Amino acid sequence: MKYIKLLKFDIQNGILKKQKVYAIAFIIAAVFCFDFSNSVKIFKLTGQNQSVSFADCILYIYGGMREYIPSPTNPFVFPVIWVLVFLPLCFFTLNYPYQDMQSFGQQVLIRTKGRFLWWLSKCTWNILSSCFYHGVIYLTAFIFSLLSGIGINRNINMEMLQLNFQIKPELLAAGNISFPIFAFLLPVLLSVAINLFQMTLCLFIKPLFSFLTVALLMLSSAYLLSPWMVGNYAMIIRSDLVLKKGVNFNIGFIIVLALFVLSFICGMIRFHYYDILNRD
Amino acid sequence: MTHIEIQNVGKMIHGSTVLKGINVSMHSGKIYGLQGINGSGKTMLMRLISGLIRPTEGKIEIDGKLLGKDITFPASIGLLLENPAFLDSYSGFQNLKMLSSIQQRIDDSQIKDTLVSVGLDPDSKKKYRKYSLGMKQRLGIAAAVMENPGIVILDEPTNSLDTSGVKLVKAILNMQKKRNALVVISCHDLSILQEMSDEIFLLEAGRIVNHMVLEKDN
Repeated sequence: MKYIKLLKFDIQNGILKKQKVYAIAFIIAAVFCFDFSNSVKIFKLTGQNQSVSFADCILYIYGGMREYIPSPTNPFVFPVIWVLVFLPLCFFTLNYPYQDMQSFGQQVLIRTKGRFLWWLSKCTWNILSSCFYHGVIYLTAFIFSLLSGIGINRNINMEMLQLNFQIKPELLAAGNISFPIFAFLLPVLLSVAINLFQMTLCLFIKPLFSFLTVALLMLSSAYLLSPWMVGNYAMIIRSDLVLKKGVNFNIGFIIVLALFVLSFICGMIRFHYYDILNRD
Repeated sequence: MTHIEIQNVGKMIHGSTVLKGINVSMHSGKIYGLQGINGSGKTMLMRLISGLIRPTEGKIEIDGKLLGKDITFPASIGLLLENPAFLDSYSGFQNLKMLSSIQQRIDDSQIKDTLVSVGLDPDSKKKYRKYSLGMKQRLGIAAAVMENPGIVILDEPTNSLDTSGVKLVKAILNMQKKRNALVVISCHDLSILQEMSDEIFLLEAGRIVNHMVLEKDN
């Protein structure tokens, strides 16, 4: 019962009173959907007649970037859309648990008589925040697709993918395919895990440094296509479903799950011994 | 009966000693005053007793239970530390109701009675963010005492309060003593501390340098 009360409190104060965050998620998604519609127009102008789908729109937003091969003639360009989808959430979820712990949360903690429930509630809040944020983006893309007459299905148009992400055809794993739902969900799961990781990191280092660490991890994933760089699992086009040399999303699921469980357990242990001080 | 036993407690934070060799025994029905300049370790000692931080050395027992091992927090404690912090968009009553709903020890009428006792209007819809500093402090005191906890910790309870507010704090402290609570307070105003406390611990640079037992008429 105490957990439900804590969670209700966190949902009220950490989600429902942060409408601006979700308004920003909507704006981000709307801008990229509009951008996607422009790329569809360009695609059609090239004489292509194949239909595009909701899946292509999601791929446009969550695709990430093609493998970067460093060379003097190939400067590294940040995957702006992908970064603008993932990093704002990390920033928005950065301060709430930390601030709560140093203010009203102290009153809550001494009344719950334990630290575990507080941590569990904050982890659940973190998961819900991430899911809600990406839910807004997915929903915006879905409504946009409906309004634009774009087919609501999971078929990926590989020609359009090549055009949007500048991928050479010989690097692609297959032709037009219907993507499994799992492939669309993994970036969201990775986002959940990475946010939890960030929250745990805040118990060891200052929140700002925690955010910078996560940002660095994500950006270095964009730089390096490797199964060990977790950010790759948040880029759908780096999946082995799309690229021959892509990362395996099944392994990605295990890594994301491991990151999630480790972050939860490390955070729980750390918080058990954590000094709740006014850091200011 | 509540009993706090602090044995040879020390605390280091980022390599600095903030408390060292603290030995204190406290019993219910008494008010213990902590005196000392800023940075002397008063608030840190209060945080240790409340379980928010853990000692680097030594141990704290509350009713025979080792804090941090047998119990994470004292079984019954009310706390006002430094500046009170509540939810901005809630009224005073809503804030207290939210807190009291965790333990469900008191009902709405008791929350309202506590608000009246600290001089706040229990039916006011005014949001916490619009409270004056004095009102915030009164609400902080109300949160600390509303559930009649066995241990009451008040860090600078007279901060931001006018003369009537200070009188009110004194009345509340007496009330807590009468109901046999163990009260720990810190206050910059030595006269208030001497008037209210049964025992005073003087802290300097994280150590107790003097322990005074004050004779009271009652």
